[in-house]
Amino acid sequence: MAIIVNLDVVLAQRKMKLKDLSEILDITIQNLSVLKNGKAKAIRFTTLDALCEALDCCPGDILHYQTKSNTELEQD
Amino acid sequence: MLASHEQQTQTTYRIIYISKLTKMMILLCGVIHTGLFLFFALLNVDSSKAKQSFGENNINLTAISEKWLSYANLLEDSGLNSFWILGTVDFVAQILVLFFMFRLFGLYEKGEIFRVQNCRYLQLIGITLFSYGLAMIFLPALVSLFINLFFEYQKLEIFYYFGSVELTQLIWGSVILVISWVMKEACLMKAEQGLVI
Repeated sequence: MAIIVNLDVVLAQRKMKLKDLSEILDITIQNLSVLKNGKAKAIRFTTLDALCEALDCCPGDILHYQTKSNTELEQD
Repeated sequence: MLASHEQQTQTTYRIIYISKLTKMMILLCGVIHTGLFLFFALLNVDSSKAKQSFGENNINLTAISEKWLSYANLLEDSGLNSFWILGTVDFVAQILVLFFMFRLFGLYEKGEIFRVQNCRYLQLIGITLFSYGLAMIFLPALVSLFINLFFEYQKLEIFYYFGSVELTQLIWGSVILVISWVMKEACLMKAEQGLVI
């Protein structure tokens, strides 16, 4: 998919663990792991809002759009 | 939201309860059906009778569906065993449907409603019913053709049965098949729902 989830990068920048984030957001660590690994099919606005608030960032910091040509170049 | 969840739990509970009852009824039906088949199978070892009466003809049992009785009589007149030729098809189709329904309601009983396996069982029920509908129409013709070609019995007439019963059977088969595909889509949607964070 062309949408990349940069949750792991943002977490590393904040020096925060997934477990801590799951406690703050009251979302299971399994669900956050699905999101972090890019396996999620959709993200609710409420979840995104809570994530941005907890990580003090914008949606653009967590979600990144990668064009198809970029993806192909990276794969090569 | 809470009311909706409560209602869902009540519906699930209802599904589990009714499924338990249905499973028992299917089991009973299967036992009766198998018992009757075995009874006729034992009777038909040396005979070509497909009907049995008890008492002063108060209880009549038949191993072949009503629709095929005239063709069964024709086979018997030709010295063929109508029970083994037609009765087995009836038995196999019905016992297969009962088996798939038993497994399906077994899963419903456990509260497993939107599962790929359920869709598979529904699909198998649909395919069996549809094939049985086709067999209802073409089996007598195929049997006649086969016997005329490969055996030296007297020539049998080629019959096709097509009426409301056969059409209803085909409709039921198609409806259940379509429902199974709808259920498959629902299962996919449920799986995707689990990946919405």
